[in-house]
Amino acid sequence: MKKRKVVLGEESQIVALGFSKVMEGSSLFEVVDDAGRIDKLQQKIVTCKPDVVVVNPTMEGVVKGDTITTLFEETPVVALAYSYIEQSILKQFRGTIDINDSRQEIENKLKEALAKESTKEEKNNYELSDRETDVLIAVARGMQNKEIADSLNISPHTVITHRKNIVAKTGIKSVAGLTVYALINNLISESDVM
Amino acid sequence: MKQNIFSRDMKLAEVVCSNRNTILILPRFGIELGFGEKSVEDVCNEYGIDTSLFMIICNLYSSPNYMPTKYEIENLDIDSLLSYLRASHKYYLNSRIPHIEHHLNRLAEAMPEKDGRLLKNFYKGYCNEVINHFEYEEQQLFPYVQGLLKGVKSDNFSIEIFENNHTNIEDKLSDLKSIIIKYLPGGIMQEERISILFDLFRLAEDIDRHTLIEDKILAPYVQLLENR
Repeated sequence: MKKRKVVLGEESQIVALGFSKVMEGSSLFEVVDDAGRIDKLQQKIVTCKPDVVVVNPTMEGVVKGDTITTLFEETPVVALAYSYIEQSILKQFRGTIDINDSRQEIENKLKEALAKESTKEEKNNYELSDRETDVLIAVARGMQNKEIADSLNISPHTVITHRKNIVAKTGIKSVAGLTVYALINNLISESDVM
Repeated sequence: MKQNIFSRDMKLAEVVCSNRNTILILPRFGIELGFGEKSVEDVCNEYGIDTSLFMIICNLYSSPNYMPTKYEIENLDIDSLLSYLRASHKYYLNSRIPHIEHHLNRLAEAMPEKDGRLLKNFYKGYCNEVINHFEYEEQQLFPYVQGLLKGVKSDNFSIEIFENNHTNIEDKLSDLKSIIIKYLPGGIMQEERISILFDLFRLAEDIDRHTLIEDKILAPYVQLLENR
């Protein structure tokens, strides 16, 4: 299998060389280039088209305010951390490599970051989809999962998935609460639930 | 808020100041404010309260992950625990719930008729759930525990049956918060809504601790009795 390409963003030459050296023995990943500044890093991403970027979150320009920059676009980004970094910032990376990690551990973290990439869901999809709205209406009308599945022609398993998404998006767990939601938003009328 | 584990020789005032939620525990044990520099133990002795139980409850309020030891459970004063739980039920039913209801009603009246009605009905549904939940505890579980203490076993009731029938009173409360924050039309009584939300968050947190007390103190105690 062809090795996956890694581009490293790290200001310290010692650390950058060390990282590349550690990864030299890897049969899965290859550090194709590294950069010590954000603008250089951005260039390398365009020219090398890496599968994954490893970057030190403290590098200037990587984190703006509380959010990680969008400069990396679609490339998954893993943090390389050896100083204290806020959890809320680290969470935005696809993983965190610690300075003491072995090659094996680094490989696993990079693999995981790539796996997340393939199952990535649509971002910021906070609104209910049409199908979820259909299921919500049915729940608000007092229908059971089996009935909902039959009437919408989907499997009961899919109904459960939709219901989980509805709860995740609205934060409403009880049937009574979902009914209120449906009524407030005029998805159903009061005569439907009488 | 800091998660502290308290000790019985701490000043009671220090406990209350380091975790404000513990203040709710005092009236449930009948403790009145104005206890000066007295330690937790001194105050408990003065009121004839099981200090160990008082400490466990304070610690659960402060650190939800706190686990009382088996020794503490075995040796606790169950009558004090049951009267504590009854007192907190009373506090929810006679104080918090009517207080929130009063404010929700004012909000509901300022809303478009339909939204106001939905809000009132939803809250009524929640109240009924809470009433039934507490009644089930006080009328089935508590007498069962007191029976066990006298050596009376029951064929048709156990802590396991109780736990299976113990309804969840947290979901609707959390739904109510979502409805008020996200879904009721804006621009109406913003201040009132925010103050209701604070009341709801506080109630939810308190009920959460109340549930912990039942799960981590009462249920293990009853299990010990059952297996005796």
